[in-house]
Amino acid sequence: MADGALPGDGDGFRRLFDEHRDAVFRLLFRLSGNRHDAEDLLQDTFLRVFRKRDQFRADGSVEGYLRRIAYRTFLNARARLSRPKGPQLEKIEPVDGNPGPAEGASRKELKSFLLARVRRAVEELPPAWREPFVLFRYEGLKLKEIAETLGITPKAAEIRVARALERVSARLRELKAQYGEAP
Amino acid sequence: MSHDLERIRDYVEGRLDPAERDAFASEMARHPALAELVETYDLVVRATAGPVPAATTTVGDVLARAGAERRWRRALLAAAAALLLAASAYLLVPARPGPVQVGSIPLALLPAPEAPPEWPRELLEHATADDEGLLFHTKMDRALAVARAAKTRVFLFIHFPGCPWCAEFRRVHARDEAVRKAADSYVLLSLDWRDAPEGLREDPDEGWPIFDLLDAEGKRIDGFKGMRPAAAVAAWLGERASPRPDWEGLGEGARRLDEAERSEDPARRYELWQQVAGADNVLGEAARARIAAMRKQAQEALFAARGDPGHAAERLDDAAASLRGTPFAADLERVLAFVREHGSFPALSAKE
Repeated sequence: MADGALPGDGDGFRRLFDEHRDAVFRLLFRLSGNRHDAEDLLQDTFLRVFRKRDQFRADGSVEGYLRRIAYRTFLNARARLSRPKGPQLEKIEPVDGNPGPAEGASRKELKSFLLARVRRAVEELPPAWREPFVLFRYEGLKLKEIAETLGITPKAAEIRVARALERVSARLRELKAQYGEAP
Repeated sequence: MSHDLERIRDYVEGRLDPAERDAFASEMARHPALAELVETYDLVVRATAGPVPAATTTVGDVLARAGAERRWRRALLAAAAALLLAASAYLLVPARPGPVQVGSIPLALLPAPEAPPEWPRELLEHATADDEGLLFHTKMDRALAVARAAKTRVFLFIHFPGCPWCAEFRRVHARDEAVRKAADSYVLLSLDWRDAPEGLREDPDEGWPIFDLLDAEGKRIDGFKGMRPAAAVAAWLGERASPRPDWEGLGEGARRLDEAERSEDPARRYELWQQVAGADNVLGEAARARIAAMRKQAQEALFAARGDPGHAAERLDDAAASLRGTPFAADLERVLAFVREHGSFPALSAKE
């Protein structure tokens, strides 16, 4: 979809939806942490786009516009959503109740344990840090784009992403001190 | 910092060209903190790498919701418009007329009126004396009725044919000015001894005539027998007299009641009764009872009209005509005007 006004007719909206559905869903899935919420948010996002299709001004990309709408939709719903958990955690064994690798664990087991703890550390980041970090990590956005999406300054976006990375890094140091060098 | 973060990401994700990559590696070698962040980000990338499920939401889902939302919004707007219309109609339609006031007709059901008390018609022509002397009633029940109306006593003169002192009393005493004056506070009654009630028919041997004072119920209070000088009789009467009744006022009240009874004009009847109704005697009672009967008549007509909407106007019209000129008729006519204007019976208000 080229930059410019959003399509006002049904067919144009169908094309817009088809082109951007997966990207918007991916973002919402990363933010919300589960598929069910992401599907609901996807509908809400495109419903808002449909309602406001006449208000869009071509002062940015359609992708950026959709990201902003999606993020605001998520933000409005965040309080009622289940606590976000990383999508990746759905595919790994839970770490709760697992105090650490068993004595004499293999290197592969230790690696798996540490990666799970890193995922956990990302998921446990405060929302204000986690959300820009998700955009940075999964969406590959530049800090300026993150700032535009979140409605904050680029400097604030930079600080939040940096603090998120430093928090995970500190957690990693603790793990290394406890269980040995990184795999 | 921004440069570092984005370069860290590009380095880990392999988006730097070889020269940049070497330069960044050298930089990491010089800065362990940078190397630590790179290592962390690398671990994050590996830890969070995972597929995202495919979305199942279709554009049809979104458009269906948009359609439902449009319908809901239209319904809401229609409801709001209807509400606005109703509110406008309410405000624009002339206010429903307030209740019709019927100040003279109580809305609480009145009891059936009691029969008006009889009042003594003798009061129409009452006098205790004329040029010929004292004027005596000759019927005891009538004299007592007048005494009750006048709230005074009865001076009873009991005589007998052939009694010279009785004739003397009529000829001399009854024309004596002092006696006439004293007697004016009494209702005068003259009875033949033979017609006197049993209890008053005393032994005449002690002297003629017999004089008694009776209360308004006919009970003997005092008396004497035999002839006395006129002055003594006058003194005796004067000592026992009640305050002189307002014979003139009583007569006027009686005449008004009489006129009311003979009048066919309800307004005049009501006016005359109103003039007498304040009197604290049987005339006042009679007037008040007649006004109460008129009020009851008006209330019955009003209630009958309310209970018969199809003929309310006719009923009110008839009742107003029979009471024309009275406050009751004015009330009924106000209600009638409402019925004729609105085609329905109004709410009623008893007070202004």
